[in-house]
Amino acid sequence: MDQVATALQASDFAAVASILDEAELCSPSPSVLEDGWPAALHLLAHMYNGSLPDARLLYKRLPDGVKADPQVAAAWRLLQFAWQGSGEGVWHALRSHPWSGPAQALTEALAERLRGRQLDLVAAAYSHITPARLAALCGCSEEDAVAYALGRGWRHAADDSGALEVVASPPARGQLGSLAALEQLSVYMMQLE
Amino acid sequence: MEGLVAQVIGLSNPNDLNQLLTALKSSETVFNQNYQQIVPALQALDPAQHSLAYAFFLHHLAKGNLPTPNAAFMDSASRFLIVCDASQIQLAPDVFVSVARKLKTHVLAGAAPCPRRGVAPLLAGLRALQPNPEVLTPLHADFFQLCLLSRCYSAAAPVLDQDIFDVAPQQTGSTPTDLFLYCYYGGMLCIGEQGRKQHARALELLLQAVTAPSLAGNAIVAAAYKKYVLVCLIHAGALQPLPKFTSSCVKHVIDAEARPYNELAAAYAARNGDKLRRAAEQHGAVFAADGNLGLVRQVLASMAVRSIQRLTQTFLTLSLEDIAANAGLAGGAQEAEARIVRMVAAGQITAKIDGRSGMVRFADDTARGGGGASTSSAAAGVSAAGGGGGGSWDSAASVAMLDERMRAVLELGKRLQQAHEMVSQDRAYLTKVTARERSKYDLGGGAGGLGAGLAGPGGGASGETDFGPFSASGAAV
Amino acid sequence: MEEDIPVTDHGSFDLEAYISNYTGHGKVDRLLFIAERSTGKPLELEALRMAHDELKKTEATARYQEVVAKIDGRLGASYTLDRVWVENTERRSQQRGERLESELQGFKAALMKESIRLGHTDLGDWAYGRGDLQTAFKCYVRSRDYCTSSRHVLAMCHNVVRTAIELGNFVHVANYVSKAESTPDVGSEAAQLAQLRAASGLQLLHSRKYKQAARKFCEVGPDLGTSYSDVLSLHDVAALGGLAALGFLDRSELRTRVIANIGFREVLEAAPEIREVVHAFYASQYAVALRSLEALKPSLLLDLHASEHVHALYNAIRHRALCQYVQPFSSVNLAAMAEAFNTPIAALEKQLATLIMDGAISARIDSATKVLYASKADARATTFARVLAAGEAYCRDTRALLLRANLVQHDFVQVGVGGGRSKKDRLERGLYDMGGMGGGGGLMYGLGGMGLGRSMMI
Repeated sequence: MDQVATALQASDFAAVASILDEAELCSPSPSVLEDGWPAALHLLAHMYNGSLPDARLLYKRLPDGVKADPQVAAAWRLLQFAWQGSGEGVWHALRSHPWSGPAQALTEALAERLRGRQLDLVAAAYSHITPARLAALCGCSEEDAVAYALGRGWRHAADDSGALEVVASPPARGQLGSLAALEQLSVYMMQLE
Repeated sequence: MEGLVAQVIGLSNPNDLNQLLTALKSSETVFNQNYQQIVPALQALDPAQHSLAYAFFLHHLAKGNLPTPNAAFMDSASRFLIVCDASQIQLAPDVFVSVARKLKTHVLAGAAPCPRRGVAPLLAGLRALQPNPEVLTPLHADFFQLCLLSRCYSAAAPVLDQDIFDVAPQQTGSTPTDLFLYCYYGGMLCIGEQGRKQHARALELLLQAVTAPSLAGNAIVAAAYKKYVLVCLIHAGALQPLPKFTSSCVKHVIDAEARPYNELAAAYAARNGDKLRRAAEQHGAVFAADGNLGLVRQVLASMAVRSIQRLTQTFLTLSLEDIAANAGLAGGAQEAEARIVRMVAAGQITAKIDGRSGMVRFADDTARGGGGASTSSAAAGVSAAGGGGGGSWDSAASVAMLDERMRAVLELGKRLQQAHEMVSQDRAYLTKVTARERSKYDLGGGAGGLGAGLAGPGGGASGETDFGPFSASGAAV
Repeated sequence: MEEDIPVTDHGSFDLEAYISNYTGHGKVDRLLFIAERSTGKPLELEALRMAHDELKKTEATARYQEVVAKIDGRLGASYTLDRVWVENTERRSQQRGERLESELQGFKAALMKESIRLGHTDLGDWAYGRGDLQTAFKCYVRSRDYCTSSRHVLAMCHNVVRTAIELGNFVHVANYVSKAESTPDVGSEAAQLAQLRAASGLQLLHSRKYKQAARKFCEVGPDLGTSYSDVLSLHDVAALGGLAALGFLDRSELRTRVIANIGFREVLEAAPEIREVVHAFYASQYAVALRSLEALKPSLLLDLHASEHVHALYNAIRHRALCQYVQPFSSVNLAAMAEAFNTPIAALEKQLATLIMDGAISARIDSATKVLYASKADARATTFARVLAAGEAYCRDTRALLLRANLVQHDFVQVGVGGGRSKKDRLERGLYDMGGMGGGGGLMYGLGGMGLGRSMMI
């Protein structure tokens, strides 16, 4: 548990899930998940890492008494929305519970991360999007959504629809000219000969 | 008993281990007659220092009438598995495996079984027993089983990621059944993880179970095949035929037991949603009895994904309403939009939704239509198993991917060469070949084997042509 | 599964002219089929009246009574049940049947082979005339053992095929047509050969092997004439053959087998309307061709043999037209195309999408602007994708192969529960099994091969 505290302190949220997994596996106690186990934190940590199946399995492992905890129940609702890929639902679940304790810090980081993922997804899946839709997907006000969009280099559409035009970032080109790459290439060519 | 303990302490050093092993093996009667003293004797031993003897003591302790679950046994066995000395326990793999399996029995016994407790010890034990990470041990299957039962799937990930190339029965005492169970449970773990990559691995494992040499069909093979069919449909969209070398009795078992699954696959191949749903309903009881309802549900759901994927091959642009209508989505445009976003996220298609008009452009590398066709998330579009409309191949990510694949191919090629050399120098194999040659002249029946053998070079040759493009693309890059 | 649309619009259908092409059972069968398809229309009664008149010339009393029951007094007193005629005919027919039967017994007792053949055939003819097709079929088949010349065989086959067609038993049709075709001298009579081909085409049509049916019908020459009027008319051959050819033969085959085929060209003269469609289609005037086809549909739906297949044939023709229309273009305006095909744009888009998904057309639809773009295969992207897929498959297969080699090396074989065999026995069986299945020794050879392939590759 000290490790968890340290990780949280250092804002190293990605490490939390594996620390807890490890601790759970190594505990000899049959009731490890009952006695003061940070179940909600554990669930959220898996979600933070984007490993929803692991979060789901964890929830299935939890004893019924723990599932009844309001914070755990709230995390489970959040997970369900995330599982279904419902952007709006996720934000609703995230907002509607007063998170407390170590989970609070993690939910804030999670919200940040989810917003980033949503913006990436919108960049991949939309050519134009209305500010209202973007706000719903990112769980923020329309003004903030527009600000995020402009921050990513998107612009207002040329017509008067008020929509935002998604500008794709140029694909990252690797250092193809590097000497190592060239050498590797010649190795392949040799093998292919 | 005291004498034995003293002997253990005296002989537990690398030079005398073989002598100790003989002594322990011949001490059966000592253990049996002094059963009550085994527990106190264990106190005198150190599990890491005296691992070999510790295994024997635990083995005999568990063999007696020890009630399950026994907390003390579980504690000492768990600790032993985690700290034991690999070089010592590898001398007596059968005893070691028996202890580990007893631990499994104990954690699964009683009113409140706790399979999780066995996960970490079995993983450690498995590692200790492996001469190297490519070797199968009898404990693989037991470890996977505990991961499944305790729902700690992720604990199995490092073992699953490792390919097994050697069964080494002499070194670890593994049996064909261990292999079948390893493949089957491993497949189930991968299915539970639900990712694309895991599906591919699940298929590989299940196929190994189905095609492993077998002279008699068994229940594991039948169960593995059923899951194989379903995952194949979800992952690849069609049932891939079994390799030619699948043994005939396995084919019999499959024909006899997996008909509902083959019917489902046929309905899927017909791209007929209604027919598929009917097949799923008609055999619902069978699927439920096999514990495959969840997978069948996923098969049904994947049908919509495939129809949308087909739309991307058919249309350059299509409105959300039309997509919903074409793919048979009940939720109309809204559901279509949500689905498309999800599919883009999963890398199953590349598409651009125009939030103003509700029109979707299925992006396409040729950029014929102009505006915004190139994608930023090339890696997502490049799902190696095909399906999507491809992505941008100009990115560093795709080059890296090609590079990685190329390395893997070369690595495997090297191994193949080694295996080939080893086989062609293997006395037993050469004897077999000469025997076959002779029997061919005697019976004239060797043609089948030879013909099948020819499939090998065919495979090699196609490998060669397939890699032609490598040079081309390499040059292009 | 076919659409059994009750025909509504057949004001233009000239029953008199149509039915004059047929004789015998073919005529009655067709009339009754038309009556069934036009229940409640004037056409129904007209067809029934003609069937009634035709049947009264025969000995088929059972069929006559059926028709009278169907007429149900709607055609006045002269079309009610004529009991006297039925009784007289029945008596006379029975007597003749008994006489034929006793004659046959006599021939059999005297072992007169040729007379036995004739006896069976006569008895078959008698039953056929009464409309008892099952008995007729049996008698004709029985005569088979007594055939002594190829002429006899051909005659027997002709009878069997005709009866089997009427029974709808197309397996027998196929069998006896091929029996006849393998008889020496089959080509000596042009009309007979044409009949066999027509029967074969009909059989293929009903087995839904349309492409083969098209080829078979196209082999029928004008020699058929009216010789098969109790089964098929020359017009039928032209119509069925022409439609199947349009739907299922590609452009070059359409030319060689239909347009440039002198024999079939003459057959097509019997059905000028079909000839027009074929030529319009070949000249890429799809709108004209499709419109004429629509006009022909009602009368085809009334045809005994065509009706069931109109839907499938028309669909295939339409698909072929769509494919051929878009083939030469790099982009096609759907609005213009819809006009050419006389179809709403939405329906056209749907049809094109189906064809693209089936791989019949290589193109993509821009639904926003309603334009169809031909797909230029992106060689680079497909190569990349193929390379990755091939690499993955290669890795997977090689891994499996390596493990398998290891299993074989260790004799790691699952043995049956009940198998209390000795190890030696087991090993031998194992070897045998693997040899047969291409594992074991085969695998080793395979390994060598893979190694070889690899060294070639690298």
